Amino acid sequence: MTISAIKKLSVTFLVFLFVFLSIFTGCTEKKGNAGEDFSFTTLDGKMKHLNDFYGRIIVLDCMAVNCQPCMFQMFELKKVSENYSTNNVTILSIDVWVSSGETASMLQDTIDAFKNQVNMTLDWTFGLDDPQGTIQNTYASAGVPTLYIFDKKGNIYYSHVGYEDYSALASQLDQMLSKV
Amino acid sequence: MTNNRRISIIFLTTIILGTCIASVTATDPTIGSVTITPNEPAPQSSVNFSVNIVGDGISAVYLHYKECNVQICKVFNNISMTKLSGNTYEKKIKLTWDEATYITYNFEINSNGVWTKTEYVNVSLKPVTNDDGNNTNNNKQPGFEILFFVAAVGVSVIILGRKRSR
Repeated sequence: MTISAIKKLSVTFLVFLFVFLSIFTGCTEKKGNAGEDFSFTTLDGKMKHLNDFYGRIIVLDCMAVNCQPCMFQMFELKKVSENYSTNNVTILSIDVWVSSGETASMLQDTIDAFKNQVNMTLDWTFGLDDPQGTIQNTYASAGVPTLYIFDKKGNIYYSHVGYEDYSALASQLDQMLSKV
Repeated sequence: MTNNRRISIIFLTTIILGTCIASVTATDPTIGSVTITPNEPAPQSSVNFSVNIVGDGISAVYLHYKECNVQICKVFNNISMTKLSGNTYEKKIKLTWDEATYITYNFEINSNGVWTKTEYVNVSLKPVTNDDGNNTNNNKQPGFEILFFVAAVGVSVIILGRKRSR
């Protein structure tokens, strides 16, 4: 086998490896996609839009009250709230199971339960999807919780389906903040 | 006067009775026993839900259920239940997610045009075991074995190529 043949083989192999890595490392993360705007109803009945929060880093938590992993996720988001609220980071927890019967009062009861039972104040914005499940269909079709981090321009920097611990979220936020 | 009193009493009695009857028919439907067969289903198996619901004017009963594990809950929307004889409503569903460890469900009932929801209830799923009796709750990261395989093949090709060129 000649040296040029070896070189060709090596290049082919590297291209092949690069394609594979590109495919498999993209399983849970999407970076740089513009996030589709949506509207949601806050617990006090006001209508808000995702783009109302542009200019800040947004951690979007698509959750549901009757979802145990979503409740565990609250503990991780609380740490994010405590450690990143001064870094222009906003957390939005949106109940996306309204189409399955979840209501504002159920969501409020959950927030109250965290306060009363584990003395934890969930001090970020909570809201509800519409009864048609628009946010659910767009952002949480694979299940809940589904987490997104949007940059200040509203581009999706990171997404993860399922429970995610604080260290993984913090790592992504640190990366984003280091670029700003 | 006596006749007037009698008429008044009959009128009042009628109103009271009417109010009582109306209040009885307007009460929320009562959810009786719920039977899940099998009581500890396995992931990806069929599960039969049967529930007794007593109440007038029940026009629809929906089953909401989700398949979950410690990481995630997946959504499966409203499933209409079929009325059998008496007050029994039933629906057979097929679980689809192999990694689910429990399901959470509730019922939504339309009675006289008013929707009533029951609390969500969790049902544990039977852990799936393989032939060795071990849980098959392995970490399924897609395709990473292929990466190692491709890397090994690549290195082998380069080494063999170099040896031949010598």
